[in-house]
Amino acid sequence: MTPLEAFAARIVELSRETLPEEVAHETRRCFLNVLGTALGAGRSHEIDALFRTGAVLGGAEISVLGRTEVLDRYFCANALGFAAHFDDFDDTHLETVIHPGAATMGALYALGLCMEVPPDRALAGMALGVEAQLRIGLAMTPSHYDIGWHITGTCGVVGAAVGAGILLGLDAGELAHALQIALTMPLGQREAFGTPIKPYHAGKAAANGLLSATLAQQGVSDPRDLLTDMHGYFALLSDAWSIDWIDPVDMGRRWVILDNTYKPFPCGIVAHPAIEAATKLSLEFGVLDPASVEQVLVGCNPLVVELMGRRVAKTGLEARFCAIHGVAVGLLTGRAGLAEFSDVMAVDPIVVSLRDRTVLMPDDLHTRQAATVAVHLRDGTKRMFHVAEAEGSMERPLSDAQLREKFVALVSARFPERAEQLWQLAMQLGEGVSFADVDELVRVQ
Amino acid sequence: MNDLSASIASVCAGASISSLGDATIEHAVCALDRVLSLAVTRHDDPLVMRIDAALGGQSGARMIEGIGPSRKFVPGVAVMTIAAAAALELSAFAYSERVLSVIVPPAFVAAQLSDCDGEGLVLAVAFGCEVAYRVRLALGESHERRGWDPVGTAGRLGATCAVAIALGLNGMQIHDALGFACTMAAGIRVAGDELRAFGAGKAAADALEAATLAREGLIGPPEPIAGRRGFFALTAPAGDPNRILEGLGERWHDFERLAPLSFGEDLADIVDEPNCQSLVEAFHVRIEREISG
Repeated sequence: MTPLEAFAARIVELSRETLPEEVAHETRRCFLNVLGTALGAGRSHEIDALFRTGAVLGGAEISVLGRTEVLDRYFCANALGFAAHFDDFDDTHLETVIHPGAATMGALYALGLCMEVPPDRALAGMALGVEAQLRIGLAMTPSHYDIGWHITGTCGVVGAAVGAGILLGLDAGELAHALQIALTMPLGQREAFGTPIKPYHAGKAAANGLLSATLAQQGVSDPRDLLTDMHGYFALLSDAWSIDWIDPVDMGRRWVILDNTYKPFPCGIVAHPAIEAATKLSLEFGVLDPASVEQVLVGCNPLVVELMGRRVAKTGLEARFCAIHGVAVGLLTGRAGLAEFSDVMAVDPIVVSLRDRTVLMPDDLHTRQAATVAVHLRDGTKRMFHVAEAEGSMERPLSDAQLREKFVALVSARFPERAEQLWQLAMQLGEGVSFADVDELVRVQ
Repeated sequence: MNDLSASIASVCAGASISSLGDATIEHAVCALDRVLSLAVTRHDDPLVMRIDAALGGQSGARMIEGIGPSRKFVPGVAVMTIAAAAALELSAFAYSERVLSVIVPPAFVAAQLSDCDGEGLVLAVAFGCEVAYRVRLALGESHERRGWDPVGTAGRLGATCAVAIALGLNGMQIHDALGFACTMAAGIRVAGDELRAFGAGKAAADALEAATLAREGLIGPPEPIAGRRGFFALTAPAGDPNRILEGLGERWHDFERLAPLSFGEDLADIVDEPNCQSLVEAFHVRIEREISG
């Protein structure tokens, strides 16, 4: 048995067991978080463009995201994954920087509307889809992301294939074939950060994973182990990798999905400590008069500069990769939500002016979870705030109550009367509740 | 070079049939003939049946003739079936022929969607072949030595340019389409004929999708080809992306002459045709004939 076959066999085995309660709970949190971000972004212009493309190139099968257009399951999976990651407000597995929920949910939800799905299988599909892609990502971390691959797309296809495979009831051999196929279509280059192609990585990974499982069900396969072969997926996409993470003995003994976190701010996670420091400064000293500021210095981890060092942002999407934008809006408004990362705020002259006076000061003393914001005022005084462990980190995870607040805020923008009900229902995923039940609440009649 | 992708897109958008020599036109016409002919002969291959079983039977706003029992497919799947079927026949050939299975089908389907004329279709195929050839050359040998399949990587970029021309995209749209194509261009070499042929079908369908997304207004990064975290940096750091542009649109590679197969007469006057309807009808006749034995 090859490592890939053993990996697939263990996943199928685990899908037939009852999930540990804490894993089931984390899976529901993960599902709810990306359902919220997807519904929140579901009417953006970029999603409109994706729907128009699906209408031209694809079939007509189901509707998703509370929209009226009818697309095929593949474009729906794409749209769901795209929307879930669109605002960069979804989840993050901090060690790998994977946003694992979007692609997995996209594939599962779309497929779940096309067939009868036993609720426990829906939950298992989501749990193991996330678990499998995180383990593949961990096996290549940190080299894979450092080279320049967008790990959410490259590994997302694995999560989507596993999730869809479990929903389809694939056996171990068929799931191994689904993974073989999925490994031939990873996507995601970090060059595209700051453009709609970034969320498309999650969406297309969802569609590709779903397609892989569907084709495997029909018997398509390849004789080579495309995962661990010397010219295979791991070797091509990373400089150093370890198969320890896909060791079947380790799987189920510990669950890496428990290390998943949820974002309090809609932007790249490495900037969250600095943004939190800025909002806390604003709350502590009152909203800042921008004219009084000489300079803002941000002590941060070097990764902030690498991933979010953009100094100019002309759109909301670009602002999501501009740490100084998050700091500036945090100082100016005391908030850093979707409104503060809008296209309008990205070019607001007051925000731009304060951004221009904000400087990132990377050093190795700040961990990825820490930052210090120091505001130097023209009158010679200084205000400073240090965040040692950012909200949303492993040490300070969002509580269920905070996650619920985020979900309701996102969903209420489009479904004000159903957000609470949707939360309650989706929190029962797997316990008599499946994707179609959830969708019933947002479906346009 | 900071504007390589934009420059390639600009040349693509300004492409004209008058810049093509007779040999290039003949190659493009024979490529159409070859791919469509070979696809028809594989209409009942097990892979085609599997793709049909997995994806056929969908109904959509526009149905296109493809390969497989469902016969009529939504455009994305029609491209996939034609390309995969042709790829099965071309798998033993050199890159310049194998890659035709990725370039011709999406150009053929895009031409139907946009009602482009015969000249546009021939130009699209010629340009797609040229870009695919140049990209592979620029990627260098190490790209394939590591395990990348250039049909899936370089071929996706060539096919996207072909579709973009057939759809009549402008330079900025082609630039954005290349952004989508680059980020999907991670074709991993496989061992089996079946998954390799499916990979060609997938690359062809992705090219159609990339260009359509760009036409619908989704934008990409400034430098997807030569950027620091872009296509070359990730799949061929030792390559030289600037080689793609040198003389593009002016100098054309002298591809090995392809012998015409079954569409000879139907394609004789293709560059003068106001649309591709006669070719579509000829394709339909070939399929009918093949099925009836």
